[in-house]
Amino acid sequence: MFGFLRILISFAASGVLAVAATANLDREIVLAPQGGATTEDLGVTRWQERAGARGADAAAFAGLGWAYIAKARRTLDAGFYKLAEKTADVIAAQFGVTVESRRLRAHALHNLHRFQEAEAVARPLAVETNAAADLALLSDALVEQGKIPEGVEALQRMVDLKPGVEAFSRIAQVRWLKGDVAGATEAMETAFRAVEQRETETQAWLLVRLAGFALQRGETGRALVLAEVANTRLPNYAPALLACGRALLAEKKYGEAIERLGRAEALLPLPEYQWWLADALAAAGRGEEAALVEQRLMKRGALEDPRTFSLFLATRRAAADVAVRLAAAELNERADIFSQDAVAWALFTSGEVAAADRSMRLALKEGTRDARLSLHAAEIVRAAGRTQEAREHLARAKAGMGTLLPSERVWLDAADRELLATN
Amino acid sequence: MKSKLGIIPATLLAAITAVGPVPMRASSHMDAPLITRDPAANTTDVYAFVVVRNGQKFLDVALAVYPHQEPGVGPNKYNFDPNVLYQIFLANPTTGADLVAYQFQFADTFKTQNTILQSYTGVVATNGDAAQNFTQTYTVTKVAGTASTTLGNGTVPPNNQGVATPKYNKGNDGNQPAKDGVGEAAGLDDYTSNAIATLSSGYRSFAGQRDDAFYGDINAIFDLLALKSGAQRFDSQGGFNVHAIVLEIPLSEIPGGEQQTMGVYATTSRRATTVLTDGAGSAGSAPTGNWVQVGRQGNPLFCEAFVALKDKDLYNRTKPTSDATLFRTYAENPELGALINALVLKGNVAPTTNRTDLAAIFIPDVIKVDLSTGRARLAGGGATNSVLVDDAGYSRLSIFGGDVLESPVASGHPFRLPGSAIGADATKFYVPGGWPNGRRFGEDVIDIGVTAVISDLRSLPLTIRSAAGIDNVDSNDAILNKVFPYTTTPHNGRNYDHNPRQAASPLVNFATRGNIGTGENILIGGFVVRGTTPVRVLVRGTGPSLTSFGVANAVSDTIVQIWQGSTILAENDDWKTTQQAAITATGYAPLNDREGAVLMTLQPGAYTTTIRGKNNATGVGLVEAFLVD
Repeated sequence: MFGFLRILISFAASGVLAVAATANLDREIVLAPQGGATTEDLGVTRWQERAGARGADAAAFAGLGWAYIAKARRTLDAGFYKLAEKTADVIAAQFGVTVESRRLRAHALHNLHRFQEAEAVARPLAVETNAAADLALLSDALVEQGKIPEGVEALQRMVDLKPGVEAFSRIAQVRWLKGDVAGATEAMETAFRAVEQRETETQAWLLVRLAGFALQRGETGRALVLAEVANTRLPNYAPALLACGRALLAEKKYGEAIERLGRAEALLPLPEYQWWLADALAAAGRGEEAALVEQRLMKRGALEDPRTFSLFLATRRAAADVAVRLAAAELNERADIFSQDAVAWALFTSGEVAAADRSMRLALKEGTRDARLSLHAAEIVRAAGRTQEAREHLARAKAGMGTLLPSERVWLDAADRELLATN
Repeated sequence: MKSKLGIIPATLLAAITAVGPVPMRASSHMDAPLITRDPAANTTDVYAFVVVRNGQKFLDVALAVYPHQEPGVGPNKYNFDPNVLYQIFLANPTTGADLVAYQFQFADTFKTQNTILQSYTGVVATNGDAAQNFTQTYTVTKVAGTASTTLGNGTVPPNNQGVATPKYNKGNDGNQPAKDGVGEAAGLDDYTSNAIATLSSGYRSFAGQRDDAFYGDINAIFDLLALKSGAQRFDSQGGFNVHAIVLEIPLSEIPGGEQQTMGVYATTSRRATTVLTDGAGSAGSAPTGNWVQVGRQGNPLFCEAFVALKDKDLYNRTKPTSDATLFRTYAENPELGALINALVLKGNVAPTTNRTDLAAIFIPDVIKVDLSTGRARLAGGGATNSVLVDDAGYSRLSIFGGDVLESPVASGHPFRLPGSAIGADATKFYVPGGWPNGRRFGEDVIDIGVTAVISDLRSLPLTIRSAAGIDNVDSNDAILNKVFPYTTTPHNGRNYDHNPRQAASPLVNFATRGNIGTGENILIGGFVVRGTTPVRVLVRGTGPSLTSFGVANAVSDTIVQIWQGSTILAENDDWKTTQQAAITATGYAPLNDREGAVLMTLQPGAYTTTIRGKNNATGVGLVEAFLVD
């Protein structure tokens, strides 16, 4: 009897020690010096000093967590979101679970694309606090998972509580998702008007979105100006360089586009960036350089961004089974229209037209105006024998042609000619 | 793996690896910013004080928004936001219920958008001329109950860019610093003067970029109250601009007139909107939903230094009528008091519970202005400023610096005190000359606020523990106007300094005014010479010359002394008797021969100064100390 108790106590004690050891390790990790001299670096250092000081409270660690978030947004390095999550762990271990630690965790999880986990944290938090920030987190997690009505409901509650940059930028995204590009532009411009002059990352983020909307409306010149301004506000911001490159490609200025896209890819070697660079190089007749970029894409694409990599593979009619598997896995984490599109396109290129058609219906259900989506839909419904419907999708794709890769534009023209020929 | 986690000690690498790989991810579509500032709707300060002009009495109120504007940043985006409703309220000082709202709504106009020169296409000669490409106009509306009256319109002058806006700057030269404040309306720069709008029913308004009239070492205060001294002290707002709205309200327009105390606060609101309009493919439309309050400001410091982080959003979206329920506890049990005790005073000096005195100031959080007083004394550039002297008797410390106003009727102000409580005429009642009776431009609200927190004002006699000089920032970085719109010229984008008047001075000039009696009832002041270097200091005891500034009952003859501990270092009766040439050379010579003054070199340390009446003379006196070099 006593021996059994002793064993239990021993297990319990070792468990406590293990928890304590993990907490201490987490603390050391988040307090480890990061170096750097940017505003975000200095923010991290300052909060590390406060959190590392004797008697530091939960607020000091929360400040550190948000400093990591700011650093992650600036660098687009997901490792800093991981550190923000770890900081939330430290707060929970040292001070107990607080509203701020949960908010920090939900934000980090969302940006680590762990949307279901983010929703699980954000949902009770939003109920408990009814705070605009928590409603925003909940809305974000829901929208990413394709739960649009519920996401819009949470967002509307947020807007009614606190209309501001955070609210209007989200309104813009949701309107765009629902095909309302003009409404999206108006909301994003309202958000931009309200943003703090010193919040350069937020300004750049908004400008890049506005550039995307302009490109979609065929206003390539305006898109380029907006992207260049974003680039000025926040130099070496990869999304701004990508936006510049895309606008330049829409104007067929390949040399300038490649220069911008090359810099963007060097800063952020993600599949999306590599695909744009490779495609631009190929369009400019620099096939060997394009091949080198694609080699990099092939090497890490499945890990870095499986959904985009799946689309890339399917578009190249390569490794169809891999493309289907990656897209299907993505669907488990976020069943939004873009994952549905990736699944549809992978299935189509692997010959499963009927299944692709079903997935594509789900991808189109929100009415999103997206040229690539429309191009995929046109191909799928044409294969399914619905020629008139294919023409309608092609017309939508042509309206947003400026957002397509050069190779997709060539493909769009060819598809258009073929459909004309079937008359 | 391309995660760039910077410099991590080797001992932690294994631990981080154990966390698992962190692939770089394409940003999700909803990676919108979560927490941002909303500067155009960010209320920074509210002011309210009684003014008499041409024999008529007014309540002048002001709201400052959009803090920390770096002068000259381009393209110049610092403007009022047409999507924000700015409101200044007159409210019941006891309940916080709204009586009248003054609404300001702005509109933008570009003369041409075919240029990258957003704000100016040339040198602006007059407001709104061809060279001012971007112009804002505004409408002022009075709302009382269900009645809404448009009072008129105004035009916002240009921001102070520099060469494009020379008239804001000294010598009308765009390369020079901004002009100092003035004492007469005729001295205002053209842009400011021409932007003063005359509205209906005797109102006047101004809206535009100005110097931020708040000063203090905010950084140190929020850095665990680790206050700085010497060369490190820092005015966090120095050299920055804000946007300010100033409204002059005839008291005849205020229900109940001048025989009362009035509450003043301000809010900013943005319109809510429907997330989805009428479905896919619809055209967008500007926000048309209800105005949603996103910012609120009453007394200085309350939301910033009393309300806990978790309730700040709640504060900003609620009305003062809720304050008694939601926020009274923050006033009555101030965390700030506990922090000052622990971090600065190292003892339980400040009462931290049952602070009904602080609740009287902050709950409801409206600035309470006694309208029955005479005009408020106003700041200029300081007591001895060669450009623009403060009004006689003005103190940046308000009542804690001896600056009071007679309150002739039972106005209901929570700090309406009998003269006996403050050493004044016992047959009369008085209210503070400034905050917490209204708030004037130039007041040191940090020193006043901290003094109130560490003092005990709950019953008579008041227990005053001075916090004068606590953050070592004791004056605004720009000289204030003493005429409408009071707040001063915006800093020049080409020539400004973020900490010009705080540079490493080892001693802050000070002045304390009060009643001099007989025996031990003399006027006492104190100062500290910081750092390690001796400095020359002039101490003077001002008495009879106060009469020329309108001070009644000034002491007729003064004797001044400087003490260190219990040792008297120097004494002087009439300043010309021993050091006339040296004192004259300082530029701070007394204005009356019967006033005492001492000029001497002092080692770093704490000193006390006293001023007494010669031959037991009594009356109002002023003890002042100046750093000479």
